[in-house]
Amino acid sequence: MKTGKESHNLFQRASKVIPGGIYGHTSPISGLPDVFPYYCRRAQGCTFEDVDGRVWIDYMCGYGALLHGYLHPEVEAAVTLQRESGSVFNQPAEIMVKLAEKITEIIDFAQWCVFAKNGSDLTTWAVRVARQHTGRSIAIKAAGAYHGVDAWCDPGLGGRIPSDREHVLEFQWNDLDQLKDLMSKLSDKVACLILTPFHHPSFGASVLPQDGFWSGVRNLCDKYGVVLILDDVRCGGRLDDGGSHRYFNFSPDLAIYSKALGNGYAISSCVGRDFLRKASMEVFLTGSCWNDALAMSAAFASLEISIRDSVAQNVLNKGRDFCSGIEKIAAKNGFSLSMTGPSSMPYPYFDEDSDLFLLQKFCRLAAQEGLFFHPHHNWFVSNALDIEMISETLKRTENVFSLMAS
Amino acid sequence: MVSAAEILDIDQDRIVVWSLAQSLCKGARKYCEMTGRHALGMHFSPKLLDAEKVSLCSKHNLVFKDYNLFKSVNTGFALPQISYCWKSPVLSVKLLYILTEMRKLYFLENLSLEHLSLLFEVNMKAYCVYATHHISAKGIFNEVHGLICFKIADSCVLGWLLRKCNGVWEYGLGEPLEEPSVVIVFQDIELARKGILGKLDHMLDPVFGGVSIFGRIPLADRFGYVARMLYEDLPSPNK
Repeated sequence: MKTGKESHNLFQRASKVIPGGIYGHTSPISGLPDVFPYYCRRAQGCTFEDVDGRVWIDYMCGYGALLHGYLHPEVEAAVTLQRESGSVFNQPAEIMVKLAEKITEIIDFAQWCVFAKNGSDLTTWAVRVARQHTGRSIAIKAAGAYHGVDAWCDPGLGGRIPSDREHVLEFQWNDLDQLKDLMSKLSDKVACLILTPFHHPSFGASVLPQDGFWSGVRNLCDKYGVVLILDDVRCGGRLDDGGSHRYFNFSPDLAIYSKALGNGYAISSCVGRDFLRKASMEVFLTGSCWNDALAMSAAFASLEISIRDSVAQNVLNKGRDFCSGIEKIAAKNGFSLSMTGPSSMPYPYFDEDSDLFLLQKFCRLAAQEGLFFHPHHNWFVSNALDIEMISETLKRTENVFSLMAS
Repeated sequence: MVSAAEILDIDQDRIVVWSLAQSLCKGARKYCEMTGRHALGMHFSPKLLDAEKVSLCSKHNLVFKDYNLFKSVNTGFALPQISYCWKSPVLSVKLLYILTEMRKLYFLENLSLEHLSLLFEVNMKAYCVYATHHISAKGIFNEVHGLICFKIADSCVLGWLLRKCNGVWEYGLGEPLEEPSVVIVFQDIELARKGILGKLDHMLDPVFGGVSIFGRIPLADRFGYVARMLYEDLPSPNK
């Protein structure tokens, strides 16, 4: 089944007034423009309906921005209640304090926190806090890792000048020797190391940290006085309700959360240790709607649900059933498919398919079955998925592999 | 293809004119072959000269100031350096005539596959030189390499473009010698012509169905970005 007529009509209109029609990760060209819908009408739980009225079982969760499912009643109730009082004021609302107290209670190493709207707002800010604290300039990141849309790290190609990345160095994920080499050679210049909990590049298999990676990273940062920043924007809430560092058993100095935090409402947070509190106050931070009480109410409710229902463990368990089910169906049909990365946010990878032709074909056929499987980005398992819906997904996946095998 | 000799350092300021000269000569030789004037085609050979001059002929019978070469592509005519033409005025005129004839292909209605292949070759030659030597273009690819295959309507293979591990670009017509990392399919010859000439919209046309892209998207992205850089820099034939 091809992309619907209404999606095309809207895109036609958009292309006249929005450069490229849709930009960024939701641009049709980032996915499968011949079969994916371009616009969504509504969503509920773990399904969404596109503007042509087609209903999809969703495995992207708004590219990670939803954890508990679309229109979760408790989150929406909290937002509705706050809306009666207003959203953005001259001063922050009480919910800002309550949310900060909640987050610093949940995240074990966090002694303070700040809020913004997007992951990028705070990954960039965190790097500046580290620079302020250390008086050093260099940030180290893993090659191919995504940390946002700012010029020091964005994956795009345009609008850059050489100095944008003059103070950003890269090492290969899991290569502790290379990292050690960088730090020892530049020991008095490295301000921070920013990493995601595991390596989840676009267009490629996810890579988990090897045994000893995180303890090695922590030791190197301590040895060379480097601030360790955890970019938990994508994984936060999906591996451990108390932050992904607990899943991998280490402790960062700063961590950034967004995506799942507001369960569909735009909010991000950076938490930190006390020794960085002073530096954090020297790096200017604000935004027009950053005190948005609606998003903060959503985040508060979302966190309460996560803790109460052990949501991270739930999505890991659901993901495990889903991933092992898909792998078995693939194997039964003669395909060697691995669901890489943690089960709550897997990325499928066919053996010897580094250019992704086979995966694109698989996702294209899955679209015909109403399964929203993305070939270029890791998937997200919603906590709104239940056993029946996972079974239904696997049943449809059987059809997909039958077609692929034929 | 870009030969080993061409990998030598080229003045960054003159990479565009060098790309243009290389592609014009490649195209002219091919056009001469297609029209049974093989011997005449052999005269086309590019060389960068001092004082912002470029020769398109092995005997330097056709030499342009850089900006005049750009103008000749843009408008269809610009005066070559007359002093060089005196050596063999007849040859100079013949070579100029070939360039003028070849330029007409850009405006042909109902382009044949043979003519499309010529345009493909002309533009891919420019791309290979530019992407191999231009410092910004090289930086964009870094470790990304692989083969891009261009097809028309899923069946006919037009040609391919390869970035080798050493950063050198090559192109070829017809079926590629190795497995492609990216396959770009144009719906028909006219869309292929637009694509080759940089007239397609990289964000809209894949959605509207004019072109489909399969395989390693980061390579396709980078290829497209550098192609747009090139088309910004290169003159385009105007009617």
